[in-house]
Amino acid sequence: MTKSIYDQLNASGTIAKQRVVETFSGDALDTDRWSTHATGSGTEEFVMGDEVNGGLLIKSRPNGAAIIDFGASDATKKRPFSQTGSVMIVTSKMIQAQYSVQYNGFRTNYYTEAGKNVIMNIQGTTNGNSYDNKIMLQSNNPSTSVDTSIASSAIHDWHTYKLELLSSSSTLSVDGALSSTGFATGSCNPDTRCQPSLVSSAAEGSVTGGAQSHYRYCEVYNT
Amino acid sequence: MAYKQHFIEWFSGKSLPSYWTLTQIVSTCTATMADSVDGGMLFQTDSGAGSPSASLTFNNKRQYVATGFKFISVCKKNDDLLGIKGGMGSSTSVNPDHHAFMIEGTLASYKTLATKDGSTGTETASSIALSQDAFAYDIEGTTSNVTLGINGSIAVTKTTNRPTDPLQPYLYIQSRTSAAVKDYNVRYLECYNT
Repeated sequence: MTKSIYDQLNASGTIAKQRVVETFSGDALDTDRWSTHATGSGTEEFVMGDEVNGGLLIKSRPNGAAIIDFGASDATKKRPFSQTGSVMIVTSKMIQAQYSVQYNGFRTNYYTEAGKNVIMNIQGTTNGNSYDNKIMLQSNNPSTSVDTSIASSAIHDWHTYKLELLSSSSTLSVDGALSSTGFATGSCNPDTRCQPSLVSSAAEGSVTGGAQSHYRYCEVYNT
Repeated sequence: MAYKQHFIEWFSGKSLPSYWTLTQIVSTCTATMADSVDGGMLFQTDSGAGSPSASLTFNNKRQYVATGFKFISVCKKNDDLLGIKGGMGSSTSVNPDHHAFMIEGTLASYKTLATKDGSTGTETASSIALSQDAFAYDIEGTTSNVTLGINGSIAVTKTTNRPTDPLQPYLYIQSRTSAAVKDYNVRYLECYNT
C-alpha cells in the first residue's frame, strides 16, 4: 500500500503548515518557484551542475551577488513563512577561498529594499574582516553575529545547515550539532513574515569568474 | 513493486507552477501565490455578482485511477458565502462527469463528499460543520467505496455513484449570494495511485 508523503511528515490529524522542498534537480532552475537577481557588473549564472551531487550552481558577477528568492518584484514578493516559527534546511558548499561569501536565510524584504533578516553566513577570506573564515548566525534585528566555531579548514566543505526562527530568538545548527561547535543561538528575529533567500556573493574584493556556490537541497516550513 | 504516479504540490514560491491550468467558468478568477503566512496558493474570485467561478486542473491529463487513488489537501476559505471543491475530476468543468470531491461552503450544509459515476452525481454530508478554519482532508477511492477524511478521521464512506474513468486533481471556487472578492487558500495538495 502506497503511503502518502503527508502522513510521513505530519502526525495523524495534523493540519499541515506551509512547507516547500526543493531538490535542485533537472535541466534548469524552477523559475515558477524562484526569482533570480544579481548585483554588480558582469554576468551571473543559475545553472544545474553536470556533476554527481552538484545540484544548483549559483555564480555571482565578479564584484556582486547572485540571489534566488520568492520575490519577482517588491509589489509581488511572496512571504509565507513565519518570523516566529519556521525552519530552513540547506545543503550547500561555497567554492572559492577568497573574497567569497554565501548567506542563506529568511528575509522580509525585496532584495533591493530595506528589511529585516536572519541568515546563515558562510564567509571565506576577505581583507581581514572579523567574520573571515567563519560560519555564523547573523541578523540585523537586532544586529547579531554568533560564530558556530566551525574550523576554518571546513568552511568550504559541504554542510547541511538548519536555521530556525523561534518565538524570540533564532538558532543555527551545522551538520546536526545541537550545542557547542556547530551551533549558534541569538536573540534575533525578522519583524514580519519572510521569504527564503539563497545568496552567493563576492565580498570586499573581486572574484574572477564570480563567487560560486552549490546548493543541492533546500526545505523551508512553518513550525 | 513498481512506483505508481504520485504528485505533490507545496504551493510555495513566486508563482503558480505552469503545469496547472486555470479554467474560467464564469467571469474571472485568479490563482496566485499568497503573500501571507501559510497562505499557499490564493484562488480568488472577482467581485462580480454573477457567481464568478473557475477550476484549476492538469488540463485533462488524467493519470489517476478512480478505483485506486488518494487525494490529500490542506485549505481554508475566508467567506461563508463561497463554495469550494477539491478532489479528483475527469474534466475542467463545474461538474465533471466522473468525480470525487470534498465540497464546502454554500454548496453544502456540512463538509460533504460528492461523487459522480458518469451520469449520476450524489452527495453524502458529514457531520462536520462548515467553517473558515484551515482543515486537512483526504479522499480515497477504492474498488468498493470512496471515503472522505477530515483532519485525519474518516467522516464519510460512500458506495454509490462512484467515478470509473481516469481522473486529475481538481480545485474549484465559486462566489455565491453576495458580490465580493473571495478567497480559497490551498497550501498543500498530494495525490497518488494506490
